[in-house]
Amino acid sequence: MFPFDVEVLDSSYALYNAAVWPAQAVALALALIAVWLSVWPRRGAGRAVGVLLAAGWLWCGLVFFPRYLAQLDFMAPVYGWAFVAQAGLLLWALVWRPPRPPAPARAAGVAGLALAFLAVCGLPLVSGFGEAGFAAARVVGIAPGPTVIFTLALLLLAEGRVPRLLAIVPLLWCGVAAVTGWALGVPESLAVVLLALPAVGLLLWPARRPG
Amino acid sequence: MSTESWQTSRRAVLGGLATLPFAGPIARAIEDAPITRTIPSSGEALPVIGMGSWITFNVGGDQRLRDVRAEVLREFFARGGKLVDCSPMYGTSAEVIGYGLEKLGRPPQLFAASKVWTWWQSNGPEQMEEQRAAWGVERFDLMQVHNLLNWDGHLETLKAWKAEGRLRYLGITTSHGSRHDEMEEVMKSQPLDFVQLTYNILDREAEERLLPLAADRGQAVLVNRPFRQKALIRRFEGYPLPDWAIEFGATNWPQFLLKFIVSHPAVTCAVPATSRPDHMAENMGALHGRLPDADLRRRMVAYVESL
Repeated sequence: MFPFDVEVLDSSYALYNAAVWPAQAVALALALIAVWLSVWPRRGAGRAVGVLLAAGWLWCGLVFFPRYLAQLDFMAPVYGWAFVAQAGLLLWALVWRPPRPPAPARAAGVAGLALAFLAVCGLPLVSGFGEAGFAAARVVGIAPGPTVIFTLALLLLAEGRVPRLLAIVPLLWCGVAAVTGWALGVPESLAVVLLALPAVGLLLWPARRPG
Repeated sequence: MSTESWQTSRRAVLGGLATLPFAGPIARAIEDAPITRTIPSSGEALPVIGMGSWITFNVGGDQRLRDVRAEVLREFFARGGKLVDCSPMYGTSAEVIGYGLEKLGRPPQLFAASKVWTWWQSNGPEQMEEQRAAWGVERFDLMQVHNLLNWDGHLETLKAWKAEGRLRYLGITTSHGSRHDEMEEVMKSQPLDFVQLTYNILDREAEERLLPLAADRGQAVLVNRPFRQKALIRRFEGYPLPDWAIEFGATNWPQFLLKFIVSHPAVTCAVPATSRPDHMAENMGALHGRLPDADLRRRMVAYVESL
């Protein structure tokens, strides 16, 4: 039961992107730094990645949902608080209690890299090929869908002792994306679901988790 | 006035006029006049087709879309519409309605209807005032408690506001056929001018208790989800209208579906929502011509259920 249609959703993303420019460029640069730190870890890299991921969730929770989507959707404040909570969880899990860094399992690492690429490049392309064009592209770090997928990707790369708690909000967002994709016919939302569900499965796969 | 009595008196007038030399133009003029129903608590006449705004007017800051919605409003008023319905739940719809009204020079025929939708009674006045400011109207004609949310608290406020002249009518709403038992209790116990509920050719539960109760209690009835949010149009548009639809002037499916609703004697006004001026023109076609009688209503139900 969405109080808007897909044309209005795309239009609001276009207005949002125009209003926050050049936040997209900064977000993309930070995302690339986060990938680099995840693939070639160094001292403190885990904490830095945690801070960068939390920053994306905080931006969505404190800027996108309450200041932009809330005009259209009465559920936006709820989503906003969920994203802020996820930022808190990321800070708790990756910054204050960072996972010890055994090397990621090969399959998970490959999947993580592929997902990161899709979050940074694939999802903006999917949304950009919609009727509203690239003005309405969803960009990692400032739009919820790519931020969820990017986070799951880097958690797969982080390996080790990722708390299951970190999968709760992404799974809930999958539910929202699934309903959005089905009810409004939003390809980007459907893509988020298709990417997120196997990623969460991999993340929680017992073989990846230390006893 | 009930549908039957309205139809009867209209038919009698038309029949009498037919004997006169100037019968044709006058009969046509009467036939072309918008179909209205009276609000039982006041006797004020309302055209039987109004305008809802759920989803359709929630277009945010997009200027092009706002202008299109202003054209929808223009079409609505030009074709005899009066009642526009909104809610604080509908995002930017109130602002967009206000923009359209301003652009159209504030049509004097507007009958402004909105809702209060908050858990807390203390927040109600602020929310209603925000809506009023967004519409740019001096006061709302009708204020309703949305989906019965804290209805006892808000009705207390609405009664006080009505007594002060800050609104003209008060009411309650529900939709999707939900909470009919609670609605029935409120209808029985409260001095309501209006109730709003879901009723359409496939969702007819309201016929059993709520519509007769509204008639008994002298409560006007607004009908939401007349097309189940486009679903009925999509479901039936591949099928032809029955030949006999022309008997009551329905030339397309929206008119067929709307005329079924507003021909129920207890219904005052249906509030279909649309984002397109051409669809508004189609909907408003249901405001003219005849209404189906009880026999035709039964045939209408049988026909759509056979599709």
